[in-house]
Amino acid sequence: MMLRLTLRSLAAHRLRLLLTAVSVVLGVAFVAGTLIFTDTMDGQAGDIAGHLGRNVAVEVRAKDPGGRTKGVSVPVPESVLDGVRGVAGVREPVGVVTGYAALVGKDGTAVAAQGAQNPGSVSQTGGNWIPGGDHPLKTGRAPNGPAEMVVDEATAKRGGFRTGDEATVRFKGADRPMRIVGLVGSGDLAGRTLTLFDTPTAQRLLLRPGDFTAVRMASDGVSESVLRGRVAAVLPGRLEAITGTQLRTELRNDLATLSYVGGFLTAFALISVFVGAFVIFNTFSMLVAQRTRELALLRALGASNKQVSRAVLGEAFAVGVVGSTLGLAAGTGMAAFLQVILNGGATSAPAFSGTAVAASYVVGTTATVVSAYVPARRAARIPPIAALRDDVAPPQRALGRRVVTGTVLTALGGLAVLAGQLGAGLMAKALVGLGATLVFLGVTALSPVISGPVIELLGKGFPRWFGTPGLLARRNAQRSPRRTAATAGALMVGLALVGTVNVLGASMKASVSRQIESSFVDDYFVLPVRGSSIDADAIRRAASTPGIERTTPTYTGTVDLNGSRLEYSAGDLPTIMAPVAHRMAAGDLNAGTDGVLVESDVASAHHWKVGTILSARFPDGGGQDVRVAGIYPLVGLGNVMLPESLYKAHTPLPAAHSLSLKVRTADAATLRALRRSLAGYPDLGIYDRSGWKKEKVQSLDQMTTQITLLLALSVVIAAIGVANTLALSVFERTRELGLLRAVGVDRGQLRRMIRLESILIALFGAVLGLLIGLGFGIALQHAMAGLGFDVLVVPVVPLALCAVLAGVIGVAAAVWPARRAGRMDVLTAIAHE
Amino acid sequence: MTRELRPAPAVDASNVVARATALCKSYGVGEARVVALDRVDVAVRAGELTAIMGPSGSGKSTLMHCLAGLDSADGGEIWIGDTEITALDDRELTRLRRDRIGFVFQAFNLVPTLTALENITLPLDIAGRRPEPGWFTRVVDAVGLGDRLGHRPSELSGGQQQRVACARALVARPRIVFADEPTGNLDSRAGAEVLDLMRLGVDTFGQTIVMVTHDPVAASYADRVLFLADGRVVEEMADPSAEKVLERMKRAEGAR
Ligand SMILES: Nc1ncnc2c1ncn2[C@@H]1O[C@H](COP(=O)(O)OP(=O)(O)O)[C@@H](O)[C@H]1O
Ligand SMILES: [Mg+2]
Repeated sequence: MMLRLTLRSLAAHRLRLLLTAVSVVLGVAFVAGTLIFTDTMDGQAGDIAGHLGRNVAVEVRAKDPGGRTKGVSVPVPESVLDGVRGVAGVREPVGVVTGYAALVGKDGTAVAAQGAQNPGSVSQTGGNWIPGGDHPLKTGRAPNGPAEMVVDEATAKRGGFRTGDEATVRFKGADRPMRIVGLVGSGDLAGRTLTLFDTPTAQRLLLRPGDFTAVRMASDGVSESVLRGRVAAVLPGRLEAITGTQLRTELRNDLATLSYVGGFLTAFALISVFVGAFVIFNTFSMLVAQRTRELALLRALGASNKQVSRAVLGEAFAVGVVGSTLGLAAGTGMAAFLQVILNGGATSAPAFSGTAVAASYVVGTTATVVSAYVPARRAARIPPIAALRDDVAPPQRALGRRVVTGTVLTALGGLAVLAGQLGAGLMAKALVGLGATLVFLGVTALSPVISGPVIELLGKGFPRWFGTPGLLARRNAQRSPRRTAATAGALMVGLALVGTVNVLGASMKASVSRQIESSFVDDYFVLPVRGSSIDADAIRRAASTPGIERTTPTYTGTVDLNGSRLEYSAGDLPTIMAPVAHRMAAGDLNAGTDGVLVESDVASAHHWKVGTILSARFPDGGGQDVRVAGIYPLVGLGNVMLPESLYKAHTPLPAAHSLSLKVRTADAATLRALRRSLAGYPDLGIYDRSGWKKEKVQSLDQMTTQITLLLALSVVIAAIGVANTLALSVFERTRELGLLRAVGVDRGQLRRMIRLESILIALFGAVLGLLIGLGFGIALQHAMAGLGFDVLVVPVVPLALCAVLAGVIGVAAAVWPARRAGRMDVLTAIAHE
Repeated sequence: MTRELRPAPAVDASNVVARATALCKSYGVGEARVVALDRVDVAVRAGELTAIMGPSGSGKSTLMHCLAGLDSADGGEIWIGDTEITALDDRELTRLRRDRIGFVFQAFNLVPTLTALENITLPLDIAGRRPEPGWFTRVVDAVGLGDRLGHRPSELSGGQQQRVACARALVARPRIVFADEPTGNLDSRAGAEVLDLMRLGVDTFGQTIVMVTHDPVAASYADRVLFLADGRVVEEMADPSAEKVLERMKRAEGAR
């Protein structure tokens, strides 16, 4: 029976419930879209990984987990190939070479990879073509000799080349003419271009004659792990052997770099769902209030309070299921859209996993039912006698408890935030986060209590500016504090986050600019694209450019010190560390050849002091004792600094991660000369101080904008919530509105009244949200000041714009309810029962 | 129902369906305190239509709400059959309403989203009972709605709506039906149809009904009329006619 009532009630309030469902739909669409997108990407990555590295039982490579993506600084010598040949069970060992090589198009620029660059790997890849390897020929023949190559189909097509054509290939250091003798497939390259040569050519041009990037081998029947053990036994110390399974897993993970995007998007999806929950809560509260008499009648006729609350929850469940279904459909569209913007084109059909479908329904339905729980409980408390009275509202608890809870939570949160400011380290940050959450909950609890006075203040001028409609609008916004607060709450969440992000973004920008000002001691800066590095030849070329006075490379890698693996930077320490020279915690920058500098919190964690002797082990397998020469403050430089000589003594193929250049005279001619010297290195970018700053600031700006845009979705949901509340209020006040019309208020005034009420509610939410966001932003900036994030900027204009935007949202949300109110017929309005 | 510790009052117990003794009820506190019921004693006899009359504000509705377990009394006892209800908790009261009591209100009797027929079976549906087929047909026939049974309340006239409400009260065969001014919103013809239906319920189905009314004509349909004034039962009239009731009312006016 209750089921029938539920269904009927759903049918009767179709429009309202559809509006409620919209807030579910948007949140679920975001969740589903993210999941389908990441599933699709994972599927693509899986295809490629299934292709790459198949038949490989064991791979031998350098032991340098930290350095692998930063270019191959430790190669595998050819002798290893002969060594593993003698191991029982090894079949067909081959040397693999990879490096940077780009096909130059007819316009003189490198042919770009399809779609966005895959972060973390070189997108223009060169290598050696191996018979029976990962890239079988589609047409033509294998490359042979120093002037032949095969390329992947898609890249050839984009460059306008066919088999037999001459083409220029850009290597690190030089452009070379080559002939295309064949094509390999490129369906699954995930945005890479591929240029392959015979092995000696690849070694000479991409690496070093006599060296490989890795050696791979098949098995003649022995299991991968057994073979791996046997191979490992014959390797020199700096090399390691991994199983083919591990290799394929790693390749797959490398390709699935977009999964971090997935995590990021999921966070925003959940925010949307959370905001949607406010809207659902509100709608159901109002539906229950409006149906008080009907529900009371059921109670009078003997329905138990459980039956009544179940009927309400049943409606919520149905709304949740419908919303989730629509959300799933919308999410599929969104996944395609994400592929277009994040992956340079919808390259695969969307992959529906059971997880995505299940998650959509679980999230959508749970959010709805949980949000409707309190209204359902309230419905159950309606006394049967309410059916007989004219003036009843569902029982409401006084706001007194709210005041207490809200104040206590806010105060505790504030204290936690303050305490977090005093302390340092992870604990302090956790305290700030906890405090922020408490303040947020506290303000949410308090918001009905403060809504009255705040709206009084916000709408102070309304009666003067807008006459009676202005006064009525303000009174209406004040008359149901809980409702106003819950409606505004959805906006508050979104705008609090927008506020936080913008304060943090602006502060970060200012901090980074200042850091660059103070740490960019030289004139130019050379940086490789992500995943590439600067080899010795490039450093030599830069140094010998006319007009360059000093060239300071910085190297990075990992080292084990007394058994702890630490990330290091290496180079000419007095130059690199010049900006912090006067802030050293202990010791100095003169490390000599066996000294290292250690970051203060690493040193204190291990109880290392100046003069402590540490035993160091390097990825090349070598080791030696080093001395702590100095301890430097926390400035974001990394755990350990090594002198260049120490780095070079343990790195067969040094490759720098950045280059700092000082010039004799900073003029356009020097820059031109520098560009000319490095022309052969398309993977290196040259920046001057302002260019570098612009680059950094731009990427921060971009990040802030992107996050703000993602948060905009939650603001849209909140706007729907405002519209929903208003529409329900209009319906609830039909009689009252009819009376106003009867005493001479015209349609326009009625509409204006609703619009103004909407603006007040929206502004209330925006003001609370932005204030909270401002507080969080300031607290977080403060807590992170130790990480070099030490300038606070309050972006007044963007925040003010947000407040204005909230007003606009108010107007937009009121369009439909206002129209409805205006259209109402006076007589039916009064007769409305 | 399990709270039957006290023996039922001796007075003509077999014939009394509902009774209240020394029933008190007041609203508000201090200055604003209003005594709605002041030590009221009433007994409702089985198989009768009892009308309750009195000036506005005399406590008619309050009395009825208390008898029906919709509102709580401040003092006194209320018996429905052999159950004393003032001490029942919400769950027990809900079951009492569901199984033993029927209601007809002045307005807003029907669930707007259900059809007339669905409204009639609503109490049975809530209780998870099936209507007795023969009985059900008789009641529905008596309502005389014909092919309009599938319509929503908003598509029915006020009189039709009240007749549906009566049918709903009768179909579950409760011990007692309470009706608060069931004809208060109706014109005399529609009112007469509703009263005829209630009379039919008493005469042919043996239903017990208590009805609050303002209207002497409506009261004349009753077997017995109780007059209330200032929260007290001041007079009882058997076999009322419209004239007798009107005359009584005029007398009360004059006494003021
Ligand atoms: N919920 C209430 N709160 C306060 N006073 C009430 C309430 N219900 C009824 N009263 C008062 O109790 C008295 C009796 O009311 P009621 O039983 O409704 O009278 P009747 O139905 O005879 O007109 C009246 O004075 C009325 O004002
Ligand atoms: Mg009354």
